[in-house]
Amino acid sequence: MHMADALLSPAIGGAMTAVTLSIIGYSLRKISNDNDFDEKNISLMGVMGAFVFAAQMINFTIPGTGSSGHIGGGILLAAILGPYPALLTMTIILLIQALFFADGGLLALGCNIFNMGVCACMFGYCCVFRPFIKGGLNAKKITAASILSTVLGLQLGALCVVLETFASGVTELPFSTFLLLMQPIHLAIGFVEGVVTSMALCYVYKARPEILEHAKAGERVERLAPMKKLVVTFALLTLLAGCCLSLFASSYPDGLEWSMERVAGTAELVRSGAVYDVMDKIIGATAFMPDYAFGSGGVESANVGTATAGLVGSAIVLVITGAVGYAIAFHRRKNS
Amino acid sequence: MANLREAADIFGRMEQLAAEDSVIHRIHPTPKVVLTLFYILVVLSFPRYGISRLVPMLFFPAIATSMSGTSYGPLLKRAAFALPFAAAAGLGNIFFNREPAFYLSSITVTYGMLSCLSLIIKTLLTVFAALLLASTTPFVKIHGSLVQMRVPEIIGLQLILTYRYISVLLEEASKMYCAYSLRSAEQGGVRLRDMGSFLGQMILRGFDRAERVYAAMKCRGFNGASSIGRAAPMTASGVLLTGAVAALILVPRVCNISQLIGKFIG
Repeated sequence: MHMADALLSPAIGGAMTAVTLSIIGYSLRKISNDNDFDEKNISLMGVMGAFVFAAQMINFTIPGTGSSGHIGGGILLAAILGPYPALLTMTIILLIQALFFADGGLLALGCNIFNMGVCACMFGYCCVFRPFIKGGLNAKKITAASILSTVLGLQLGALCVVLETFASGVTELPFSTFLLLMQPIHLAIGFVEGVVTSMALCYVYKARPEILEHAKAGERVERLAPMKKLVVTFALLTLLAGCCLSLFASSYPDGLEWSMERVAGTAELVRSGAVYDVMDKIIGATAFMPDYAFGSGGVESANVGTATAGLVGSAIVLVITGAVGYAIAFHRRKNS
Repeated sequence: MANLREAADIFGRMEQLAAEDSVIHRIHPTPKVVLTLFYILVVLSFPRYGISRLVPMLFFPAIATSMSGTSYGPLLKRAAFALPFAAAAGLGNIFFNREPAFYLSSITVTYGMLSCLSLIIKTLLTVFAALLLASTTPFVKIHGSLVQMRVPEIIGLQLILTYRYISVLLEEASKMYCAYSLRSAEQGGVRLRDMGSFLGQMILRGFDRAERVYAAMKCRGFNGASSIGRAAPMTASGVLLTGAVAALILVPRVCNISQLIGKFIG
């Protein structure tokens, strides 16, 4: 479910980064207010982050389908570390994946942390998993809580992917079609991931119950952020994101054009003055394929001419880029 | 996502590439991080049908790759892993927007085709830029640069520890997976019913490992963030150079270079 940078507009990427950064900031404050949290916990977070990273690469076979899947790890981390450290750990995992594995992008990092970290660790764990295990831990409760929280967290994450991509305006798929493509498949994936998460947590609970008991006892930290506060925060953030999304998804110019319009009074730079006149003369003198001979004149012809100029120009830019790149590489090899 | 052995190889290769020496490798990490983010932002700001305006953006990663002496092959191969989801969204555009944009001889080029191509080019450019940053800058220096940019101490520490633990845990998981595969021949992966105990074992081993590593770190004088270095301060010339490169990156955005070149010969 990692989103690439290209699926986002700078406005949506920026807005989601701002929202995610504020949630990370909130988590950091919660962690620093916890007197029991020390360097040892950071070391544990590091190891658990590496664990989830490695675990995501182990595919399990899904019986009867001939396909395989892997865990996302958000609920698993939250159940062991608590929601706030888990969110920070997911943040680091996603950053390393973006840098080294081309999984997701740097600008899309805010969206990916929100979709896979916040939706799982904050919504899935705090709103679904934790209420389930409130009375005490046992295998049945862990199983039900894991499956339900994973499914709901993943559904919310998939919905966010659809909303963010759609609001960015990069796809021309109708909203309903995109939604129908994303939600059912993530329902199935979420269920299988939930089953695997529950089995892993039950195993840990049987072998070392103190690990999960300790995480559950971390409720002291979470009491600082009661459910009502959390719901209000989520609602406000959703509202903020919604406002930003609808604002930038409208027909207004994009960020750079907007800035230019404010600075120069127009979205396109006006070409006037002696330099441009000279440039026009040079263009006229160097044109050896006049008008490309497409169309019979008029607006359509102008569009074709413009498009062809762009295509030919792009090809030349490619050739020049390749040639300069090759020349530099050749020069380096020669000198080494 | 790659499998365990592949992942370990990728880490090793990226570390090797980042440890090499070139003009690009010697640049201060902060401008590299800032310029990479700026480049990605500019690439994404191009309109969805503006292919010809987008193509000159290829110039920057191509030149930086050549100057760094990094091979294109491995980076392109990694970048291609990011394509499937973007390509799926892009292919949808071809079917849902069939409005003709222009005609090339007898071929009708639709707006859907243009937006699909634009999406694929943007994906490749942005992913390539991020990979280029990672392959020309050692991770410790990226971390130092983030610390210099006032990223909170706990995140900085987490980043460096997770990065270090990944190779350890990958090796551990790889051994467990190998042992499992030898015991259950002809399996495409771990059986679903075994996955719980497999991951559970990994978690328990990870816990023990964390205890041991933390004790070893303390014995060697680890004292929080102060034990981890930060990048050297940037010089005035570095700041100027960053500004100049950022201005260069902005040129293709404000001026359609491809069309200008096309008009010179047309």
